[in-house]
Amino acid sequence: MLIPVAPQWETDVQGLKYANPETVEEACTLLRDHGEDAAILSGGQSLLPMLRQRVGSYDKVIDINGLPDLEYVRETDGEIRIGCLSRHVDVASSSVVEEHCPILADVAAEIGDVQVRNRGTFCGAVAHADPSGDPPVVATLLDATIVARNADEKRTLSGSSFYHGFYETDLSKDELVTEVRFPVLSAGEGAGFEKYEPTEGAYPVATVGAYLSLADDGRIENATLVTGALEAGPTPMDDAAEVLEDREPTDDVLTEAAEQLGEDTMPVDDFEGSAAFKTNISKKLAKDALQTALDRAENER
Amino acid sequence: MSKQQQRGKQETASEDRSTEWVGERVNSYDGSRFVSGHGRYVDDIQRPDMLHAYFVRSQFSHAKVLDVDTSEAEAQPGVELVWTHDDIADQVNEPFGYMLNDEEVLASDRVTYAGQEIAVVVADDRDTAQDAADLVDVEYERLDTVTTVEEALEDDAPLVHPDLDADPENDTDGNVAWTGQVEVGNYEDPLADADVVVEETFDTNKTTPAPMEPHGCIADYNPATGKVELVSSTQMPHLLSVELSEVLTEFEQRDITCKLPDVGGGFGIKLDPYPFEICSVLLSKATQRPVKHVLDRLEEFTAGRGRAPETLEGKIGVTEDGDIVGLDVDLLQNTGAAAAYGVAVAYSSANCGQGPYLIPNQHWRTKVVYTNEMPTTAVRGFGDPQVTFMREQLIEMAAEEIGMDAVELRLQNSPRQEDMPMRSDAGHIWRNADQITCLEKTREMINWDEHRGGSKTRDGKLRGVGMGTIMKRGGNKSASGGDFDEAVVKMNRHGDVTVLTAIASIGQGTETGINQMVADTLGVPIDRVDAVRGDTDATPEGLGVWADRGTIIGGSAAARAAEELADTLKAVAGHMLEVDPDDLRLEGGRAFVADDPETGMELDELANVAMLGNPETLGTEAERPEELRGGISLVGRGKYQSQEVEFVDPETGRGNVAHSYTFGALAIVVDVDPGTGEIDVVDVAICEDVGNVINPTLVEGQVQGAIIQGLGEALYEEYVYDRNGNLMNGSMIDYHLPTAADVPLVTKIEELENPDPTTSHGQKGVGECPLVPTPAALANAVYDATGIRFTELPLAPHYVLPALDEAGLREI
Repeated sequence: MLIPVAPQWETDVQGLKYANPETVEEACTLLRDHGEDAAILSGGQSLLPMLRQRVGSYDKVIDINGLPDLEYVRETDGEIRIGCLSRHVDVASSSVVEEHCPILADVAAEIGDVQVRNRGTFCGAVAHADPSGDPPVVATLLDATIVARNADEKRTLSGSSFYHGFYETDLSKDELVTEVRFPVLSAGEGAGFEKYEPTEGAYPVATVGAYLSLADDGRIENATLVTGALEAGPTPMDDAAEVLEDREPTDDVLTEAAEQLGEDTMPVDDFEGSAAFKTNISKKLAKDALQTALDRAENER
Repeated sequence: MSKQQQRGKQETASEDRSTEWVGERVNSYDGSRFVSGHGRYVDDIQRPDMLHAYFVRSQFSHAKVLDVDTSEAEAQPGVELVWTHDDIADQVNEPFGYMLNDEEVLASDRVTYAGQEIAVVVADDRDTAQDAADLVDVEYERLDTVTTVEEALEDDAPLVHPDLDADPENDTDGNVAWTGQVEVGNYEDPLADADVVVEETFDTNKTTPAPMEPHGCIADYNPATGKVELVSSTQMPHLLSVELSEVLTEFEQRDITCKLPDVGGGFGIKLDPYPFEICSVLLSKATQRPVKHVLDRLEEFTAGRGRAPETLEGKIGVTEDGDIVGLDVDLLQNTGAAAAYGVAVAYSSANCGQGPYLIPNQHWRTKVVYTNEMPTTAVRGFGDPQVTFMREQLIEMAAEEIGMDAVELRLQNSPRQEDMPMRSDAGHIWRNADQITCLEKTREMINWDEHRGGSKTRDGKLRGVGMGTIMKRGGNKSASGGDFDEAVVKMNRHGDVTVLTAIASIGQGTETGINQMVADTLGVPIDRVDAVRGDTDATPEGLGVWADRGTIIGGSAAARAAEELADTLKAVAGHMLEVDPDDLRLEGGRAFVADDPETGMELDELANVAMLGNPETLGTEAERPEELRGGISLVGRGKYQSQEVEFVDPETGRGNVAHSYTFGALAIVVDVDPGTGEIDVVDVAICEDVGNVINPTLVEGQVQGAIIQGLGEALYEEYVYDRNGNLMNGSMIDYHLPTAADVPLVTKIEELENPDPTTSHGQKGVGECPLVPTPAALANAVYDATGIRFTELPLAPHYVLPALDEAGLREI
């Protein structure tokens, strides 16, 4: 049962109201009363640039860094659970992740730069839903379970149907993501992630996540492909995945699926390159991600 | 580091000078302050009662300004003033500009690029000023925009400056701001003697050097004196006061004191007199309070100016035996909405466009063209990177055409050290430079023969090697009216030395090198030498730092000043020790007889005796030599005025545009990813003849930084405008600068030390040079790897991958 508390806006930072609740309950109460015009500050990797550039419609900031017991990466009941105050670097360096779901480390280790990874939170990136963000791609790919709380209740959301375009998710404005859970990949399963960023640490222009599971006879049983940054957020590429199903995982088959992904993706021309360029590079990323997924599946993970 | 130093250098200095500090890895004079967070940049400086300015900038690239409504902004609490053009019109000479008068301080009735200053708000704090600026209501009438030189040169093109075009006194013709040419030998038919002619058109990119510290200033007007003190992040404090006095009707040069704060990078774009500096002076005068304006990063991208993109249509003619006989070039510069230094960039790049080669017949035709984009100006390399991108690719194309190795072709056409001093075909005076060794060493360091011809790596990348060369000006008289610097070196009674110089410190370390030269001339420890830089009330006249001139000109001036002081010290010591001053040597903090080191005295004692000048120590004036009578001044003065440098001849474009020239070669090995089009620079080697190295650490820093900057411009950076002249990628998020993870640590650095006989310590220019050949060498390497000739910059994956696709090289 959550105990309502009065909002405590303590400080005025550059015209913003700032609160740093000490419990999840306090945070959720603040969100209940002010969620429409409040932003949650965890790592701040996305929020602070927005505030500095005076974009975004917030006039209040709720800093959740003081909440207790939310910084963990652990395996429980066949799932990897990441607390909402765990930083990218925690995920990248987690032995649990390395053992059970190494794609998460691949993703976390390549987000932004060292400073971003030391401060930015994995769950924050899942919730923020930047269309170029990497964690949303892997949350969609592996159908993560997203744990959200408001002042009244806790609910779980499915990662594969969580995203709805630019910065749009199933979350309500009064909800706080407290945890994201990823499946432990077992023998015969593997996942890979590739991205193209113009320079190290720049926002990616194209990303592809690939998941494969192999049947006992070595054929591909299930496959999932998801792109990021190319369209308005994580985009499942079902036709390309279908190419793989029930096929021998030969190089030609992986190439065929990668080509299909490229044909199906619908990027736009912009200063980062033409749609044709992005299509071509997505094929390469898909091929490499599939190869990693296959290598891991064949090595029992 | 695999750096090797050629140590057998010739001495150009007088034989009795100490060599304790010059050539040593002395730490940067400012280094400990900067790395420990004790730098003091413009935005760190607070003054009592200071106001903050913020500009209203044009939303459109080309429009009439019908009305500017400032009433709502003026009504905001904390807002002191809101000004439009009408408020300053009678206080400025307009149009103004560094080389062509084509700028307004605040737009009057038309704006010519998105980001141009229209109005300025002054308030108690920056946020208030910025919020109020958002409330200024500008009514525009959109006009047709031109963003490319092709469009701008069409007969019915919209005119960027119709008033200048219409003015019979002004040379502007349509959108052409300036036209020039270089004519060498049989310029009417420069390719007449060629067996083979290779031609190609090249397009370079518009970039910003993105200094870590943006532009900014504080103007502080004193109503009692009528003078203003301007603390500005500039490369040329003394010239800034000259330039500003030409724009500001009520200020003479003597009324404007420019003072340098710490400057966090310049790269050329901190040379022009900017509207924000002019406005800040006038606003301080009007409010009688200090006024600060520091550009934010978005303003830097839209109005901070950058490198001019150029279209270069080039033809090179060679004989079957590999002699380069002619070069024929049409150069079109997209200078943006104002030319700033664009004219100088154009004429000096054409004048120096032959590079380090003997090319007897040349014809360059140059046009500087206005468009509705951010003005361009000086940027490190100053036009040389653009023309080198063309020339060095044409040379490798020609070599392939006649079946000759590209390095051999270069060697065959390079000037020989033994023929120097000599006049180049375009009129440069080349002295004591060994380009042959530069080429040979670079070829050796990069393992040219092993890589040349292209190969595939084990992980499927396409590998190749390419080269570029350097023949870089040090100075530019036609841009500055002369090439000189003055210096004062003074000593206190304890023997501590202070150098006063107009040379600016913008992070490059010129002051450290100057201090080393002064320390050796006076024989004092380096930590006894301080530098006062760029304070027009205190430092003697000089032109600032640009064109690699600081150590050459400013350094030679300071060395001369130190020599004058050294002569005084020797005279005093000679008198005290009863020896001939000519037999004395200053070294290690002592003055002593060169042949008898035991006979000497400490410099601090010497300084004290000289400063007090008492008869008890020196004897009566009658007992002293003449130069020690009437007060002994421990102030040395020096001036260095290049007598070699010439104005470029306006008819032929020829002439010795600079005091000295630095030669060199650079080679790059690349791996091209056939899946993504990404280019990995796997090796870089450079050999330059930089004259005597004053400070190897600082030279290496400049070499590494310049190459990385060049790689950034060659691989990633570009201003992308839409058809309406809006910048699409004007932020650090969208404009891609190289990070440490994107580029190699450049360690194959070799410096030849053939001294320039005309400079104080044999030094030549260094800082800009290594950037010059980098884009060219990269493109040549990519050609070697892929067989695809990239003629446009940058070679970013979104241009490379489609070309690989078209050539059938793309793989997944």
